[in-house]
Amino acid sequence: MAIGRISTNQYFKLSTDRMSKQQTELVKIQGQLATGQRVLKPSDDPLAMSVALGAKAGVKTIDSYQSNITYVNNQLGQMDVALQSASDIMVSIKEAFLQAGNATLSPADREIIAQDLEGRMEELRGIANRTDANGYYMFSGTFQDREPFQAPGPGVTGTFLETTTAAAAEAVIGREIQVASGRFVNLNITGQNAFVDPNTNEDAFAILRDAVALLRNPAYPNGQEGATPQDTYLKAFNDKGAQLDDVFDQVQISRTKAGVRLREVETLQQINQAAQLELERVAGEAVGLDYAKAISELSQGQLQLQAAQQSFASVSQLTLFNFIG
Amino acid sequence: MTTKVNGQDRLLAFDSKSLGNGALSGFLSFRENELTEYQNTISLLAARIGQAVNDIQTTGVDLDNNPGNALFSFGSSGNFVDDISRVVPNINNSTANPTQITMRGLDLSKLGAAEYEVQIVGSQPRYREMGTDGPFVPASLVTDPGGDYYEIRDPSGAPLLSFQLDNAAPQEGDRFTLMPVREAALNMRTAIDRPSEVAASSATNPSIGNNENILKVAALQTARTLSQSNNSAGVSISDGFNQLVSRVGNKTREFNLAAESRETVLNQIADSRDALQGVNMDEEAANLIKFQQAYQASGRVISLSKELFDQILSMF
Repeated sequence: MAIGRISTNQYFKLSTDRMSKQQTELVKIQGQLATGQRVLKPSDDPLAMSVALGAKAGVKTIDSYQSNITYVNNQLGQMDVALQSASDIMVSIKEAFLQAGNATLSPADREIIAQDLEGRMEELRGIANRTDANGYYMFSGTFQDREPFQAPGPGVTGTFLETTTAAAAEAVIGREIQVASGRFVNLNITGQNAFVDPNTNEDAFAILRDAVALLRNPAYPNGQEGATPQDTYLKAFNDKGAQLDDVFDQVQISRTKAGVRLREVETLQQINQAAQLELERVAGEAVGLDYAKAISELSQGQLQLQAAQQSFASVSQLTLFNFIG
Repeated sequence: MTTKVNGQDRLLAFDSKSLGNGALSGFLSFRENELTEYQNTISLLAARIGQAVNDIQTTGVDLDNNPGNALFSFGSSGNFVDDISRVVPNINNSTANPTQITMRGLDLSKLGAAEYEVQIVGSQPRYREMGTDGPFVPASLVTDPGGDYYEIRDPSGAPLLSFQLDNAAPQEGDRFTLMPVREAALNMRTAIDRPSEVAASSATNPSIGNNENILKVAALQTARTLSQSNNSAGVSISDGFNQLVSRVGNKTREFNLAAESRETVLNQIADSRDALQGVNMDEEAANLIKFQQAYQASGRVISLSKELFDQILSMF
């Protein structure tokens, strides 16, 4: 409504009200500029806030996937290095086997080879029993606190996790790590997968122990009819060699598995990053600040407030009383 | 406050309706509607998270190879439903042999933030949602060898909660308020002190590297465990929280707008009043000058008259 007459009180009240509104607006823009957010609280724009909350939750979830990927990378990387060393040692063991498969070796020669093999067997065991940075066994599956291949002794068989059947050893399930929405990577490359001959269920260490025993005591066991004792020894030794080749294949397969998974998580890492950027863009679009707009609003607001203050200062001085008395 | 009902004095609830308009009525209305709804929503989220995590935890095995214990507790009664719900009998209920109601079960995956008003009519409980003015509808009777009970169901027919009447002859007219999840957020505590008590491992292959069970907890983030019905798969816990934020935001905006429009009206009225009643200094100054001048003019008239009079007199 049009007001024909304005009381002095009204004039002062209207002017201060207007100025305080302008100040409130300026403080709001300052807050937006300081935080980079257009929407400071849900009531500013409930719909945008809800979109942003959803997107930010997505960003956080992907953060967890990315840190899982770092863990997976570490674990698989260390496994890969260990399996590489295991592979190298097995190559040298195979060379020693070639040497030993010679019927003309003297007992002293065989003892040298036997000792060499024993040394390499312990090296290999060291690798199979390697721990990660936190002191957990890498090849124990989920039983990270249990040594995968103990040295055999009284009451210790030396088999994988001291289990007797392949079934029990396969029971190491449950080390799935989530690396992306709906994607899991299994970290279970176990001693059972990598160091056990799948055909005879004998582990590399048992095979090597048998081979060393054969070298030290070529007892030429129950030779077949008509075969020479040497033939029998060679046959037995070659059988061990074949088993070892199977284990060697297992090491290679395990390395491939680790490699494939490493490549997969590398790809997923990039996909996650892209998804995260997109979500951040969505959140930014919903509640983020258009600086150019906010700054121009700020200067406009400043100008208005200044004008209001100046006009108030001069107009409020005007009173008829200045001219009388 | 009291009122006469059937010749008897009845206590009246001190609510927003009994106070008309004004600040106090506004506070009470906020408490009855918004605050209750938000408290119940937060409580529902707390109860659902607690229940879902506990269900998973208790099927697993912890680091010390012990069966998993609940991660959250909601009270000491040993009964989850008793811990999180509240049944408030009306103050006017019969004093002799009053009706007793016990909460029996809750379906947190279907419940909302609503509270229910229950009234005994013809020995049967009838109910309606708190804050609505609709008719009371009969609660569905379920016969059970362990004791018959009543269910409150959602529009799709899915049971939301069930309760028992503890005496065979409920008193006509007795009223109750059922608050299905009111106490949950208030009473929620962590029930374990050591990280090693988290049952991360599944029970099938308990070992320190087994994370099967904790993966299920992680999956709760996106699992649709709330607001289900026979016709809807529901929403996830984080969606439930987002909805709450959105509702509070919308309501605040609505109130802000209402306050602004009322302020405009108020200002207009004040302006109209001040325009008629208020003092304008310039106007007063002008009046002052006017009256001063009138006074001076009158003075002048008197002095002139005196002069004239004097002259006339001097002629004689």
